[in-house]
Amino acid sequence: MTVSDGLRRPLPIAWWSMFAAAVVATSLLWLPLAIIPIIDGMLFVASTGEVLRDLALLWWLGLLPAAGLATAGWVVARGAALSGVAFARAGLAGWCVLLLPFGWVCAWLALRMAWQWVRAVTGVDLLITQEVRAAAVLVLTGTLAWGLWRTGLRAVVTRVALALASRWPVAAVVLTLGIVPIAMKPPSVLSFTTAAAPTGSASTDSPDIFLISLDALAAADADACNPESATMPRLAEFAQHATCFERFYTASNFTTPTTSTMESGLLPWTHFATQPDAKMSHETRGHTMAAVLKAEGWRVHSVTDNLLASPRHRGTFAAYTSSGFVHTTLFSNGLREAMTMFPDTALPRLVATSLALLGAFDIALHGQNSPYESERTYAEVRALLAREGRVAPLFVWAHTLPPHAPFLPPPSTKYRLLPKGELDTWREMLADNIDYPASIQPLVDKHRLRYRESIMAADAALGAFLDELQRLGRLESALIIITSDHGESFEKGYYGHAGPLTHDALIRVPLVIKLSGQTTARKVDMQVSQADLAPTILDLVGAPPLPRAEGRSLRDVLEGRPMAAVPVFAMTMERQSRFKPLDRGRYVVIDGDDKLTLRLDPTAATPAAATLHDLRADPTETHDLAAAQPARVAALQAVLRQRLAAAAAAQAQAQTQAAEHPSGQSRP
Amino acid sequence: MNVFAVLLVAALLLLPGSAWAYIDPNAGGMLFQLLAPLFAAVVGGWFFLRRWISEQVRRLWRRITGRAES
Repeated sequence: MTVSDGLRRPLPIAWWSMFAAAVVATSLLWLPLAIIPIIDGMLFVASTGEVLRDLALLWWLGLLPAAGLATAGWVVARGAALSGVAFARAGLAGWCVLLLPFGWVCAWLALRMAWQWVRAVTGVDLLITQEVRAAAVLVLTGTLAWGLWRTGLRAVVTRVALALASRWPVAAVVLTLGIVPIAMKPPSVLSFTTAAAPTGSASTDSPDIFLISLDALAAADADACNPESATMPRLAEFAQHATCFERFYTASNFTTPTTSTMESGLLPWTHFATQPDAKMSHETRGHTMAAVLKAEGWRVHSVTDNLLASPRHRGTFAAYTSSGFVHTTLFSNGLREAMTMFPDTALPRLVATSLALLGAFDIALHGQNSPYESERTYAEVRALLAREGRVAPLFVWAHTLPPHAPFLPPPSTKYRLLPKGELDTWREMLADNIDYPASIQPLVDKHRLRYRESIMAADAALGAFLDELQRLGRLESALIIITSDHGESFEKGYYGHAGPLTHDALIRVPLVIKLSGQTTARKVDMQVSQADLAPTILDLVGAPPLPRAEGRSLRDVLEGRPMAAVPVFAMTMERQSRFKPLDRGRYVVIDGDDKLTLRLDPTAATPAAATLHDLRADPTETHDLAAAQPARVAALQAVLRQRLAAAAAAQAQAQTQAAEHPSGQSRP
Repeated sequence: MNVFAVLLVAALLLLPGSAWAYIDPNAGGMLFQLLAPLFAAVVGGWFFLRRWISEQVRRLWRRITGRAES
């Protein structure tokens, strides 16, 4: 039957026809539109075989929404027909239920891709608020409805339905071909019921370890080492019986690379979890303190409300006794978390990208309420402690999203700094992680006030949890580390985190460590690295070190002995492929008061450009001293280049080993 | 035409403000820059130029085979 023939006949009320059309729409339009924009990033951090396997899995998963919508359309059409509605009208109603959502989503994705393409080619960008974005959703919906009304709903639906349904063989071929990469590299499936048993001999005398990380907590805003801290009085109080590091630098500026560094002691140029949804490279996934501690007899748990901070996300889940997610009220998070049952695939990212539209609903539905609450994470930890008892020492990594955006603090702290009437709801907030013009700095400053209110709430929840540990008698003897994965920027024309920048607001975060039994306060002014965390923790509990760690144990300084300062490193590598020479990104070395930033971009007029700042004299990094101090630039660049060369050599060696042993993982 | 203009404006407003955000951090890569217009051409051809393309192919085939139009 040709399309012109079909236009004269009523649409069929047949489930298989509807399913065939839905499968074609899903596999040939919706999913390609969602995936093409991120294909470069996927190939940066996964092999071609892995990418093809993951895409094939997504295509097969696409059968589920296709079947769901086909069933909904069929039920509506059959129900209408049985209720006495004319066959042609009933069929039209059913096909509308099926095709209108697809049409809306595909139009949205197509136009989004078009704009991304224009932006990529021209460099043009726009700054918009969530409120404007929500209004645009309404505009798009209204325009599509108007277009359908003008053209005639029946004509459009009939033409599209017949065109899609008749292409089912193409979709069938695509899906059938997808079996090949899946069969060649089958995904592992995470069991949610079996917990890995500890194997070592650590006794119950060994200390519990609580690593508590608060997402996106900048050191300057937390002010944790100041006993009079206005934003984090509870953490500052805790620091009076612990060691507070004033210059603790993260390895990068967003969660995936930084949490990977925290648990492995490796820097991003080695573990290569350099994309938001990347996993650590295969050869480094076994190189974690969790693996060592489990081998030594600790029961090892991760509790987080941030998917990117989970070992299921980083690919290091095998070392954990449990790696649970804390409930959030984000509608879009549920499916994403469910996909982590395939922890060595990119399915969480792919599903999230395909359903990015759901984010708009989340923003509209949440209004003034944040989808994240620190208390939920701590409640999960308390439940975990009750379950575990004291049969074995515990390592618990609790990572809470607050004070991460959206900055919607609970009523207990909201309006303490910024009065009611501005930035009350999610819709009014700027989109995360964007460049902004200087003209809106006052608006960004107001966001910062809400951010600080969010910090106050996160601090109160942290304090309550520490009180609970005290009440349970688990505080004094435990090793407790409180820190953040990265900072947050409200300056230099950049709002949020991630992105290419590396100024102190993004990479300097609090670090407070309380040793088992510690009662006195210490303050450390020396620069230390996030890569030092894992070596320090392992050293403090007497566990074997991580052999390839790029950080060092801080035990001496924690126990009051002198330590020489060494340079620390940070980097942003979102556009650096794991499989190509290290020639892109920003690489930072901090040595004493000096901070050298080397920007590498082989496509730029200056492929390697360096800036130098004196952090003591110029903490906001506004005066570039590179031209005035060429000798210092050369010396620091030599240090950085040496480490880059070592990382490149390790990268080449890992690729050689991966070629020889495709499925192998290293062991610590 | 007006419909497409409005749709384009709506899309501009809907889109993330930065290629560096958590979602789609590498929008703008070389492969994307090639695949996006290719995909648009294939789908656009399928939807809007199907008849014209098939007519051109038919005419070419007639010219090659020398058959007269029926």
